[in-house]
Amino acid sequence: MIYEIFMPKLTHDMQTGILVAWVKKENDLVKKGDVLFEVETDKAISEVEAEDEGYLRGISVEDGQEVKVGEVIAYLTSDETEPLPAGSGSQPTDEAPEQPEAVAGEPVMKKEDPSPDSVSPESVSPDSLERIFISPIARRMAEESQIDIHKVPGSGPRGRIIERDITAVLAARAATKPGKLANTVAYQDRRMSRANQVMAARMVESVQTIPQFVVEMAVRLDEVLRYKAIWQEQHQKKLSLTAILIRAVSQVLGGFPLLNASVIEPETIRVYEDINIGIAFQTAESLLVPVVHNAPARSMFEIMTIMDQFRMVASERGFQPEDLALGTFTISNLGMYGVERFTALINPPQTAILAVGSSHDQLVRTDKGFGFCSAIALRLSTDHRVITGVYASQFLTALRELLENPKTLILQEVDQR
Amino acid sequence: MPENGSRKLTYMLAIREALQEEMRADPHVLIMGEDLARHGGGFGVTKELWEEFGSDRVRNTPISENSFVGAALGAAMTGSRPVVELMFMDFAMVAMDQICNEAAKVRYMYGGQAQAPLVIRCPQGGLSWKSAAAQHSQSLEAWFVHIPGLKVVFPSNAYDAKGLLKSAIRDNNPVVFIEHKALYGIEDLVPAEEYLVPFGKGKVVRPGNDVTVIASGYMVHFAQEAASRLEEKGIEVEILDPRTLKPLDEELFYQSIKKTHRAVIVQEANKNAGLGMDWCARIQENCFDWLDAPISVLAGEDVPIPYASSIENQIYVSTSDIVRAVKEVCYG
Repeated sequence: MIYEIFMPKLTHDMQTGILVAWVKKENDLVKKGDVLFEVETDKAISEVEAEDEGYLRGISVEDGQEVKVGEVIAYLTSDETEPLPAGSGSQPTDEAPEQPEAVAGEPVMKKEDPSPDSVSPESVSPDSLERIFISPIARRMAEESQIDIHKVPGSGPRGRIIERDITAVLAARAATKPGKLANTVAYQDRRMSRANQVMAARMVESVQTIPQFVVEMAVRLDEVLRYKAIWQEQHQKKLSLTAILIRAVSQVLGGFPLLNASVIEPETIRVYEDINIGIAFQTAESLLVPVVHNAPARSMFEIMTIMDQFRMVASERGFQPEDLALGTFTISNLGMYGVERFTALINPPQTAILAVGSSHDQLVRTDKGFGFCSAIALRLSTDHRVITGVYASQFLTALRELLENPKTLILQEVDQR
Repeated sequence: MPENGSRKLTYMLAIREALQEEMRADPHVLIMGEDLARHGGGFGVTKELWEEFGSDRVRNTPISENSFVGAALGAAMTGSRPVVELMFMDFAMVAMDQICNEAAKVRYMYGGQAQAPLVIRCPQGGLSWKSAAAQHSQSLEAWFVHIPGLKVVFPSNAYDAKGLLKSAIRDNNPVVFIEHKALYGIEDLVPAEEYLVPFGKGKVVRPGNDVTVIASGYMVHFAQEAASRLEEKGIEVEILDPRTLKPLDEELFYQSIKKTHRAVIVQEANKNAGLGMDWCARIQENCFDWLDAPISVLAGEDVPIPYASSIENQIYVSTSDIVRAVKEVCYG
């Protein structure tokens, strides 16, 4: 008896999974319920168990490889010498045979025809095992557009592929590559990294689900720069504007609980008692948002130390999951790149994000006529389901007042450890 | 479509006006049938015509359908253009020999030397002002469409009824002109000036892109109601009324279905060997590669029409049935 082991569909929208590691090795005798291998999806790493007993053989996928859902990656045989189907072994099959989709939690193995007298497994093509139901117009459209109907999920009765299924494939195709231009414009399709995929999903969620509006306020920086220099002198350490902003925001945020909150269902706002400030970081692969947890209780020095660690870790791609979790508010600073002002997208499920521009000279009226001061633009994007314009403005005003009188903010250490 | 000078006219008055205009225009046009003169026929369609045209051209007949259809056929072959009224289409059964075996074959049997410009007006169908039971409510159009040599017309509104009847009277071949009894009182805009509706030219009653619903006679009105309901659900229904069942505007069906990819056919008659199944077969022969769902044929139950209206109402296709079928072919 031979059982196929294939990449299971662990989540509804899973198309591929990364086989992180085989827990069992070639020729191991496996018992039902033993963990065979681990799979990484964009959500989690899951263990996949054996649904039957047998020898694990014909492993065709190595650790770390990305595999399409339904692709056969190994077999379980009831005795050690049983011949495996053609094409199995170490060479990977280049075309995944059409498999019925296993729903999460259902068996991931399919029984091969066990009868020894019938046709040998080699002569049974996967296509002949499954009749494809498809409406005439869908078949014609698929032929005209050279769509492989074996790969199209049917949404009609009995899984019939119907017009809208083909239309969906064509739409997806049009979205990924410009059909007509394909002949004339050179291009290359690149697979998004996991981190990129997560960013994509979150940003789509942000613009699709959160009605966002933006308020901006200019803040004079002269005092901040003065005390920043004093601090640096005292500590013999560089202090970043981002660190000062984290501390300033965390001090002000307590008075504006709706900005430290999430809309968790249409009628419910979850207001967080902890204030955990996330800070947008560019890593080699994508954008990540490590979090300064419990920021109000931390001294300037502590926050700056955490920021230094983040900067080191970001360049080495090594954030721990706990570094990235439980943020309640986000700051994004592009000032160091010369951006004067910009609008950030809210990082769901939060209700606000602060976009920080570069410090620049601003002409101001003085007693003697005119002069220059340093200023930055602080632009707050907020969730209009819970935040009003006045509320957002009051937050920025409070933040400006603190930043324009920053002596205690920067120099007084909260934590005396 | 309505030109200047259009008035609202019932289906019945539109038919009467067609008869009157053709009788005024052509002295060879005469009408005959049971109680047609003073009484105005079974449903009052021919009222006032006897007063204007007299007993030679508005002729009462005995209850003898086979005989008076035969007499009309003889008149047609010898230069008249008779319009016969059968009180109920169900009574055509006693005149089947004259209609199907004689009138339909005259031109062919005489090698084109004779012709039969004969119109047989047949009120048919159920769901009318009162129950008429099993022998007075049938929908028999398929019987006559099946006979080579007959033309079959089935208007769904006053405008088409007038224009088609005038075309029928001017046609040199026998025409079975079906009137739905439930439509007699329904008004529509009818131009004051003369117009004809040609045979073999169907009508897009309502344009749409999602599904084609084909209906004729009274069923067109049910289809329109269903389409309004479906519009609220975002489904655009295209309704086609072939108007003449033979000759049939098949091309109109195919054009529409090549656009919508889905078809629902609605008929009052029962399904067995009915026109819906005939159209269904033609569509799949000609539009197979354009179909996204099986063609749905909705039809009445295969039973004698009950007298009790509570039961009668249940044997026909309802608006909800059409809504359901459309959603099904749209996979909605």
